[in-house]
Amino acid sequence: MPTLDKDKGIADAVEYFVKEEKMKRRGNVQLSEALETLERVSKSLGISADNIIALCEVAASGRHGDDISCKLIRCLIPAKEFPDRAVMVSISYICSNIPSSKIQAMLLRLLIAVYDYIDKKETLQKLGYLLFCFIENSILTPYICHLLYLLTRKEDVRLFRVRKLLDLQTKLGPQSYLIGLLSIYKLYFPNLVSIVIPSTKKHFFPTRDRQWCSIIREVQEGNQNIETSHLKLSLELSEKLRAAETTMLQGIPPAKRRKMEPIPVVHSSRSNLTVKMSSRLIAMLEEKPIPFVQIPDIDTLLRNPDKVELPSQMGAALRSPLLQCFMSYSADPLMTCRFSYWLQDTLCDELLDSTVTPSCFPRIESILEKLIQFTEFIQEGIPAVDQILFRYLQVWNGMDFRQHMFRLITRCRLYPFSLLNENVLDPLRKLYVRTSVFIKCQITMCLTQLLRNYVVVEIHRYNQKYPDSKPSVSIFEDDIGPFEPLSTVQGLIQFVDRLNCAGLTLENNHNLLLHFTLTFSEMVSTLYTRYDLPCVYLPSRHIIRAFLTDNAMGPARLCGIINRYKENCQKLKNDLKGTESEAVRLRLKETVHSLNIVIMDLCDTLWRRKAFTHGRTDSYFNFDSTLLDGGSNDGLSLYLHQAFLPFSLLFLKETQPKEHIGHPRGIQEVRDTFMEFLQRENISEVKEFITNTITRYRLSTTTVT
Amino acid sequence: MATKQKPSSESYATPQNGNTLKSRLSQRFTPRRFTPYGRTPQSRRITTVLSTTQGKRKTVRAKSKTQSESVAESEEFKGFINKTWRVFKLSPLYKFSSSPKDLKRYGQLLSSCFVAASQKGMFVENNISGKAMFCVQEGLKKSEYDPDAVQILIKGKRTTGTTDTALLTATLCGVEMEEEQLSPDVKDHFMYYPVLLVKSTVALTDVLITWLQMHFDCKVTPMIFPPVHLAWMIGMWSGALANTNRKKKPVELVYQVPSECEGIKKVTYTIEAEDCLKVWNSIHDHRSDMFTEEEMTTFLSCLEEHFYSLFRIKLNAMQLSCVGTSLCYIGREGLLKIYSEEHVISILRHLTELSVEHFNLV
Repeated sequence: MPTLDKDKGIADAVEYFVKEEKMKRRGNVQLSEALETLERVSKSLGISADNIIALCEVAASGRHGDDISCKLIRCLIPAKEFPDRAVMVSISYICSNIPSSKIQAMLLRLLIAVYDYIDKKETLQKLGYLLFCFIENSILTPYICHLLYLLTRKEDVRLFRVRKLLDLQTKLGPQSYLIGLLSIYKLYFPNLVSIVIPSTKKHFFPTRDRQWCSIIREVQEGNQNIETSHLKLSLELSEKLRAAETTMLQGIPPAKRRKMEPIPVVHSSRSNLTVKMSSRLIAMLEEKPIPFVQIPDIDTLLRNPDKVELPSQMGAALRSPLLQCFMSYSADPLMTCRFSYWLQDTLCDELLDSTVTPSCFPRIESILEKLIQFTEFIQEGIPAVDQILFRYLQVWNGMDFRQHMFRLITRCRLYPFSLLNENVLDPLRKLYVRTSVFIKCQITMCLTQLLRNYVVVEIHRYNQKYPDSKPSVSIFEDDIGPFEPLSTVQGLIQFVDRLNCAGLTLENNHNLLLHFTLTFSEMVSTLYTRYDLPCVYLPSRHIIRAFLTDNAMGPARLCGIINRYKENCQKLKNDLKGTESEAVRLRLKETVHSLNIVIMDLCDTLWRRKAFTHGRTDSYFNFDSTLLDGGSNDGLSLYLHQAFLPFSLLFLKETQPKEHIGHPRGIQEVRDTFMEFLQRENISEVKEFITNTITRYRLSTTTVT
Repeated sequence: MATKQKPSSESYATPQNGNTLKSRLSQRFTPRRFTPYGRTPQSRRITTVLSTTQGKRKTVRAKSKTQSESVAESEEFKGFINKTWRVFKLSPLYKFSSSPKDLKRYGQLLSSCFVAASQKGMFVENNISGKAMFCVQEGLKKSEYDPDAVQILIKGKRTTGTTDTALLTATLCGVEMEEEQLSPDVKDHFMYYPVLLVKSTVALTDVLITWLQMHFDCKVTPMIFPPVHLAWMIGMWSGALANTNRKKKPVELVYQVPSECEGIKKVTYTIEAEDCLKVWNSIHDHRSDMFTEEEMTTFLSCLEEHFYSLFRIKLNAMQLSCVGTSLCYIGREGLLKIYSEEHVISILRHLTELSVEHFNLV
């Protein structure tokens, strides 16, 4: 109940201050009571956000006179957070000439005291630099400097401000508050501020409000114990972050020998900084290249692309998306060269050279992550990364940074196959044969994506570059001469195919691995129809493994793949008629031959019920007839195949009376309906295959069309 | 017992949980003892090779030079010997120029950076003042592709001392490089120094490296010598002092004992130089100036087998971490101490070669 009383009391007090227009100072009992309530409540519980806003307006307007306003301001101790609306109100009043300078100073002191508890600091950061106009007001200067010291961000540091402060310093002498503000500027831009900040000085802003601050903290802590401690946590975090930022900017390693974050910060260029102070000031006034750090957004960048002064270390591009934009926009060979040199040595240092312990893993992972983001952004691999990758894969244990490595591999450039095989594929093969099925799947997926990268991006880039030898088709130039790009792709397909064959044998047709194998085959089967690459490659005989699984995914997707191969071959055959590329035609002929074998096999088993009595010697199912049971011929037919048997049963249950379901063999008569049923169960590939292949259906469809 | 040994095809757990794949990071260099990553050449030059203007290579051994010549040359390299250097490799320096005017400017810049760092209290000894100087170091440019070697000196007073001492000595160099390493379109903007030698405190070295990295957009990383490189060095240089009369330092090999063996950290294997030379002479063809990979492996395995026959310890199962000959002492983490003035060039050339190999990865 007492809390209610207090709430009421404080509400009354606030209302009194807000409503009252003119009030007597002397002997005004109501006034002194209201003030007393306010002080007592604020020092014990703090004041709610709404009340703070209301009182802030009253106090800042100064309509009750300086003394009362100051007392009110001192009472603005936030219960939880200091509302940003109150910040806006106070800054607006400071900027107007309504309140006296005493109240202005008091408001500034308030903002400094509650700075850590302001709920949205963005408002303060946006408005804060308005106060810079009052920097010459001798009463306000120390407080303004202190507040600006707290809220200065990197983009706030501007040349004219530095000059103003330096001017002021010559006028007033070395005041600690000016040095304090300059020190934070120097932290961000050491090249703009040439004065030496004494290292012994730690407290630039001696405060008179220590007691006030401690009350605020006590109130906050008291409230926190009641509620959650999230604010405290975030405060600690922000302090930590600020400390980290400071040390990082100064270039001091946090601990004595700890390794620094290897990606540099965006600094302005340092190559021409020897000019004396006075001439530098003059130079500042002239039209000059804009240092990259001062470009806030992409619009500014695009408005002055020719005036941009690059940062001193191009490695900072991994940190700054804007610099990445600029790099890909200008594609300046010097810029990319600087970046490549840096990247090569950095990665070399991080991955290959130093004695890496698990404690550095987060750091290395973050670099790799940034690198991958960058390559995703520019949509191309970086030759320097490939070089490091080539070496690292040789000593890789297959465990560290696995995801990152696979993602980097998928962005690999196009190389002659022997080079690719030796440096990338061979290490992966070694890893493949001795790891679990999950890593096998990852490797297959990675290589599928590599193939996609080749056929979608790299081949086209190669064709643009040669034979016209156009130089700038990519941001990062590689210096590999002309070679046969198609043979690399073909080599890769063959390699993955063999790998899959071995993998499926090792893992006993593991379903997951089968899925990835089939995904790869699906990709290969559409190389010409979808990616316009005159290349056909039929997987080796292991593809029939997919047909023999007990999972409907295998046979169904195989039918789909064969369908697409057929389309691919037909289209290629038609398009090849005019041209005379003998090699491709020969390969096509071979492929069509082996494709026909698979098609015949599938038809014989699924449809014609003569899986083993077809009489073809080149069939996948060519066994000695004496070993076979005569009734086994339809064992792999559409309705008896182990993968489709559940569907047959389901079909029978749906169509037959419950007490007399019958044998699945009976479906033979209604195969068309069963195919419809399968289509309904999302296995449409089988129907497509049959209608495309079996003469009866093909003829009927052609006559219809 | 039974649960532990599951057949690998059935265990679907990723190897992160199992013991199948042990992280090799701690012993990164062991699995490929004689092939680190990529290739090492089939053979390496032991001593100096001077290229003549015709582009034909005439091999001259240091010892066959006239006495006065070699004395004059070795005088220049007095500064290199009997100091412990840290060896770094660098990526090409952007917009670096070795003209006197620019070097003077760099001196000023580095000085101010040094002052700023000491005011920040980065050094243990406070208030050391110093002045940085850059100058071209003569005598290290041996081939037309070599850049002008640059010496960096920071001289100053320590709090205790009254006289100026060299707080930091560093040399940027590339010795007897065989071809232009940078592509022609960017050649004018970069300067490639493969090797940086620094002798100073760690804090000061950090200042120099940070400064170089910030001003010339390069990356300075310590040169790490994997066992295979150390094996090459010991192979090549054990016999190099054959004909000099100097007092020979014994040949020393330090092996790091694997962490599984508790109680012992390293094995130091010291052999008298003369004994080593006998082995060396019987392996190396003295007419040839090149030392082949086969000779290198034979030489090292000879020494290791001898140790095995005496103590039954297989040294080839351990990692070589430091080697010492009469020429120099080299540690895995890039520490170098040169003893012989005549061989400064040979050693620097070899370091250059290693760094360039690193630079041209494939």
